[in-house]
Amino acid sequence: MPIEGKVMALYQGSVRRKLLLLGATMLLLIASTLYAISRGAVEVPLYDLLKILFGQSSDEMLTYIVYEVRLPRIVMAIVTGISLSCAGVIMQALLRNPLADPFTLGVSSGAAFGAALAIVAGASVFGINLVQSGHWMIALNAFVFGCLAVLVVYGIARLKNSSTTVLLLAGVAIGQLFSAGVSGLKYFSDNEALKDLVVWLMGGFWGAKWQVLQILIPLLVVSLAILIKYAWDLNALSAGEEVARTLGVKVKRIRWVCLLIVTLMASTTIAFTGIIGFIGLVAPHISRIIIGTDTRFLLPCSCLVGALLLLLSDTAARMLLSPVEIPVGIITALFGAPFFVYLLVKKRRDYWA
Amino acid sequence: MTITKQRRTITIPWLIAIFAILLLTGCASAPSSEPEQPSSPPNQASPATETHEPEVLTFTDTAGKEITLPLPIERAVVLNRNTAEAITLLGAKDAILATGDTTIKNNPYLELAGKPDVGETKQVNLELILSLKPQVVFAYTNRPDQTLEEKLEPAGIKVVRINNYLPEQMDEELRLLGKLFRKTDKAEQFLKWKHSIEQLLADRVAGLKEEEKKSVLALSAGFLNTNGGYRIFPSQSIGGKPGVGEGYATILAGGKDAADLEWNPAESSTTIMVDEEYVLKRNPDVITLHGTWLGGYETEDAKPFEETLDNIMKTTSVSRLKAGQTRDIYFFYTNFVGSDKRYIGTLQLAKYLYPDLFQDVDPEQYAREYYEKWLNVPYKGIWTYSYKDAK
Amino acid sequence: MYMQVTGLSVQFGDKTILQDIVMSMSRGEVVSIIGPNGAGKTTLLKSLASILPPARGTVWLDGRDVRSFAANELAKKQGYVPQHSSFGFPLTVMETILLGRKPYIKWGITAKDMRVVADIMDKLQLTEMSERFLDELSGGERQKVLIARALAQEPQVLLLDEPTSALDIRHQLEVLELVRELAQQQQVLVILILHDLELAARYSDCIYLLQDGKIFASGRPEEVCTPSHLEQVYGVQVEIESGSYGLKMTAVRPVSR
Repeated sequence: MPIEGKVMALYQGSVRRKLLLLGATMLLLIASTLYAISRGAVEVPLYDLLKILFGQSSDEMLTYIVYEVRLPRIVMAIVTGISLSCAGVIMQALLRNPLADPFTLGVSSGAAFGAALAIVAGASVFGINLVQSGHWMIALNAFVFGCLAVLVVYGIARLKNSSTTVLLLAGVAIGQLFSAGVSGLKYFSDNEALKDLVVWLMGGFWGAKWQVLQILIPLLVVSLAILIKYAWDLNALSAGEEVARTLGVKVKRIRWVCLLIVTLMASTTIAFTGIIGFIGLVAPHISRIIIGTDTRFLLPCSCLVGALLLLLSDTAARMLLSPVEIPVGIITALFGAPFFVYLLVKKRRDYWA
Repeated sequence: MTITKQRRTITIPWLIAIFAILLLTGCASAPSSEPEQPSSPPNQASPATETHEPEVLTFTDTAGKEITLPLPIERAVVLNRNTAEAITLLGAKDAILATGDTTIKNNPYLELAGKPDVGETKQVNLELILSLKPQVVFAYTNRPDQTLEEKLEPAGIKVVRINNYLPEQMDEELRLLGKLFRKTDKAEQFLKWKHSIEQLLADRVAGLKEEEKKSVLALSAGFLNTNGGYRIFPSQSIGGKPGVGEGYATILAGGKDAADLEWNPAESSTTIMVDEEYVLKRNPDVITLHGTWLGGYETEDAKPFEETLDNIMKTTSVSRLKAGQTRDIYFFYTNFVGSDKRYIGTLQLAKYLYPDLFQDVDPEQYAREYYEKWLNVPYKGIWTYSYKDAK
Repeated sequence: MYMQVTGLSVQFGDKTILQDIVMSMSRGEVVSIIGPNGAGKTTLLKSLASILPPARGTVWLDGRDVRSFAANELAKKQGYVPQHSSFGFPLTVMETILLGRKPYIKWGITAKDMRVVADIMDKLQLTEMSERFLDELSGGERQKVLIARALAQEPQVLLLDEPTSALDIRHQLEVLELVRELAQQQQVLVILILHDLELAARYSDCIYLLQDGKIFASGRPEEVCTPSHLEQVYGVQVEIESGSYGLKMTAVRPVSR
């Protein structure tokens, strides 16, 4: 059967090429991680760094800096990059719309409102006492309101036959509503609470802690495992909902489960890092250009690209004006936006038509 | 007379404008009686100023603008709470017609809450100011923006921009207020008292050798407390000038800045956010924390201070620093060390840093004197807090 | 009878789209659904594909109510190609055809999946374009790929909604030849909606003529495509004569009703 061999070879060739690309991106991420570990406001010579990493160093302060300051921050950037771009790629696949990401569906603005509420109300209602548990309170509130926003958006869309256009428009509307809420809280809160809010809205990875990562990483692993299991269903969804159903996809269930998972992922990370824009939108598009639209490969690729972009951005935020820190959101937007525009203009195919 | 004339010429276009608006909106009945009122009070006021043989003072304010005003000022709206406090200590509080949110909230001891509130400093209620018909509005040099002049000057209201809290400006600004309110003697007496305290501090720390000086990091308490990162108040500006008040206090108190950052006065933020690693590397002997959300005149309970500092020790890497290990962490209410009462707060900071040099000095005594003697109100509140002494 | 429809009605809100549809079709047949715009052809096809739920009546497949099938089971029996395919983010030809194996795939691709796909690609001459993206193809090529995707499901029933609508005459013939071959050689029941009455008459074993949600006539092409039927349903005077390839129909003029 020569024809079968030929098709098989074609298929295996394409799979091999994609795996190779994934491997290369992975290597790039590892290299960037190593670079990020070696650089910082404090110079740690390579030899000392190796000693620290292998637990041989006697310099307590350097060990602390590398293990408790630099590493958690780097891991946090990677985890956030993965969460946000994974959320982006899944939302885009579910809604079959290139504009979908945690922002457009209202997750981010909902989470922002929740955090703002916790910061402003927490500071005024509970006084200082709340602040001890405040960080968790902010995170919890961000998560609850992030989910709430998606539920409302999804509810509105269901009223109107679950069309994806309505879903996106509802997302924009609800996003605006929550943004207005945040603006209102900013306006009416007193100065000190406001400062915290501004910091939170800018987003960033300072003060990243292993404690938080111990929650986020298992969540991330489980979520990714479930999502990758649905890769074929998501692929089928690209042919349209009706066709997907005739291919044996339980469309409604897939939508709910996937949307819930990515909302969970995005809002929990946003809760701890503040709002970091653009990654959720850009990483999936870059990945589609380099590896194609097959979700089996696109999902891991997006995660790697998102992690890579955010890690590089944060490293730049730390290093550019060291020791002065630039909010990472400024970097992602500053480099992300022009790059994205470049891709829009140069890209080979037109998903927008 | 000239003033009255000027006002009249301005009220005419004003009336025309209002009349036009009324015509356009078509509501002629009820509000029509109101616009006529503004024209009458200047007429009544003018004979009064004439009988006093108005003396006129031309001066340059801190923003560099030349202004001419009749003396003494009798009707002033004060947006700047430090200016409101300075006017009060000069004994001219009666001339204050209205203040803003920050004055009422942060300086309750000035007892100005009974007077109108023109709102937030950056977004004052211009209509309310106009309706109060002040001679002059006092504002900060950098806020609110020039809209204030654009809207008020055509109505004959002067805008004077002074700060009354920056170290190199506040003495001259107080003298100016002395002249404007005819309280020059009181101003000189106060400055003499203030200078004696500053001199005491300068004399005591003058003998410190460079290696004896403690390194101090001035940080925003609010950001640190809510995991917002390390925000430093730099002690110097670009070009070696004094930096932000909270940071500059370190230098005045005979310490050295643990950070090596320079502040750009053009920036709206008074703090610079730095990498956590940088703070760990600089490893200060002492940390001063600053904010206005802890302490103040109405505060009686020191518990929140302790809880906040415990929280910071628990959740941040402060506990890894020398300052954290020796509990050399001190909280200052911003006005006490970085603003108008700097001369008292820096003395307190110096005593925290070098207790041996200041055994016989009680900074709180000066604070008491300031409130009781100069502001004529009871001394209350918590203004500084020592984490070290709390143990 | 492999597929039967009994008393099927479909409603959108208050509006009745299909009323009391009765059909019966066997494997190996090519069945066309024809009728003017808005007659309910697409709704009928979607009901057969169990995309739309019936208000009344039942669609039977191999003696079972289609709604009693699990989604995956049904997907192994029926393939569906809609009239307007949206791609979302376009996949490659190979990936699209592989999607047809979705009901059989757990996660990895088996040798069986590969063999089915390879056969179909060979038969439809798609092998050369396997790495191209769907949106880069011409209308005819794309239609073939979408049919290939449905074929990869190894269905007994193939449902095609106007498969020839955007194609030039050569591609129209290619697609319909392919459809007839499938029916004859693999005993697939092909149900398709066609606009072109001559092509419908030429390639179909059985035609259902729809008017206003009801079946107006059904049976062999020459029984259904009569001047009187077409005039009543389409409002057009038609001349019909037999040619060497089915019926020749000439629309003469619209008639006033």
